[in-house]
Amino acid sequence: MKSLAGWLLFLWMAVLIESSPALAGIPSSITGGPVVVPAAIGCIFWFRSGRGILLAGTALILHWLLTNQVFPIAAILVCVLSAWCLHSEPDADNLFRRHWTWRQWVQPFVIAAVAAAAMLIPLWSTKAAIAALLARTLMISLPWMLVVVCVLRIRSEFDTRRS
Amino acid sequence: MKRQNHIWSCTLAVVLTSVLCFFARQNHWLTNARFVLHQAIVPARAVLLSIAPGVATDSTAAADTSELTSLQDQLLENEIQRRQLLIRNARLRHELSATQQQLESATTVAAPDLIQFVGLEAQVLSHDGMNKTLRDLIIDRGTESGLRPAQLVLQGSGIVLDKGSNFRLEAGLKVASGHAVAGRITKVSRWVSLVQPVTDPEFSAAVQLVQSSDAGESLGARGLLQGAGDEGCVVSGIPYTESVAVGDEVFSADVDGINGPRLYFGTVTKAEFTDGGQWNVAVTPAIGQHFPDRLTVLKPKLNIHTTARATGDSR
Repeated sequence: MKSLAGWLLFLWMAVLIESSPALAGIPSSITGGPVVVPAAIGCIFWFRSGRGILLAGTALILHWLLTNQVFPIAAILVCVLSAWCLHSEPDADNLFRRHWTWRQWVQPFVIAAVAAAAMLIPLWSTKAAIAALLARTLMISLPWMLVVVCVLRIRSEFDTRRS
Repeated sequence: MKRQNHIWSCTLAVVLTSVLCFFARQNHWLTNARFVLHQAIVPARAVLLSIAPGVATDSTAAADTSELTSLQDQLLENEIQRRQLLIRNARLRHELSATQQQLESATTVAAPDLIQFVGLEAQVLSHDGMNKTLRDLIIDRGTESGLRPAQLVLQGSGIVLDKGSNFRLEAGLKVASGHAVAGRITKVSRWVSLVQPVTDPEFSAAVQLVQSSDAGESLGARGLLQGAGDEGCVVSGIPYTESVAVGDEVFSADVDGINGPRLYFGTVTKAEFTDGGQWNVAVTPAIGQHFPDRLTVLKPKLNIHTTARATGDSR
């Protein structure tokens, strides 16, 4: 219950920060959800259950409603890709082993990058600007994802499983 | 297995919700909800700003400072301009009221213009000179009245009008249909006259371009319009420094050298530079090959009442 409340607050803050770009110093032209998406991915991989997906999905839909995105592609992609990753790991307690496989390290980053790229699809007509926008989004998104993954790793290291 | 089913069912729920929300937003059903959401996060934003004011200022400080300075400069400049305009406006108002007072003290008398243009309607008898039937008819009737054939018959091609020197027509007068120029009278006999169309290679007239824009119409460059046969007309003599565009309208600069009504010639359909540093402008005439059955001959007329009054005053 504590972790649920904690993630609720964390996601709400992420949505809040990203809907007010000036707060985080994010240029308003960045539309790839560099703060919310890593937070949502962290939430899913923290809970590793349907609850995490619902929570993250709700946050991403909320973020979509507050911004001017055309389609809630991030919510769909993040949830489907994360569910696929979780599905491919039959051992529910895999995350909490002391040694992570390379897949476990890479998966959140790949999902974050794919989601960021997908959110730029509506700007496809301005191909020249897309690369720059993607680079700017990933410059925020990937380090932020690294922080979230490190938190997940520390949690597994200390084996602080939720009851 | 149960856990995986739960994960996929939750994923499906998120996907369905996303799609539903998308359609709802497309149909503007979520406008109110979005407004409420935006209103709801306003206090939270304010709290975040108060907790971490440095976050916003540090990251955007440089850009904000330069933008602010630039805006302040613009504001100052605008204020100076506003004050200058206020002063100028006041001065112009003063001049206007002074001029109005002067005008009120002077007696204004409306007088008729000295030169007036009158239109004489004529019927087109032929489009290609005088044919044999017409010639014979006129010669027979003229001979009965004691006129020589040279006073009755016109040689050459062009449009033949049924008015001649008997209506005081003379060579050089412009012929129009409404306000559109059809040509110019080149030869006049007793009862008929010959018109040279605007497309005739020997036709020329002083013209002025009129350009249309969002701000309205404006007078453009002056030039010389010349007939170009089947290709319509061309305007030459416009230097490259003048502005010419396809779609400009071509009007007469004067009527037989007298400032009079602006007659319409046609539209600019092509404009390109020549090697000589001038514009070569092609014009499609309003009346090119197909002439109406009735045309109007424009004649300048001296206003007799004005001259009579002036004579009487001098006595």
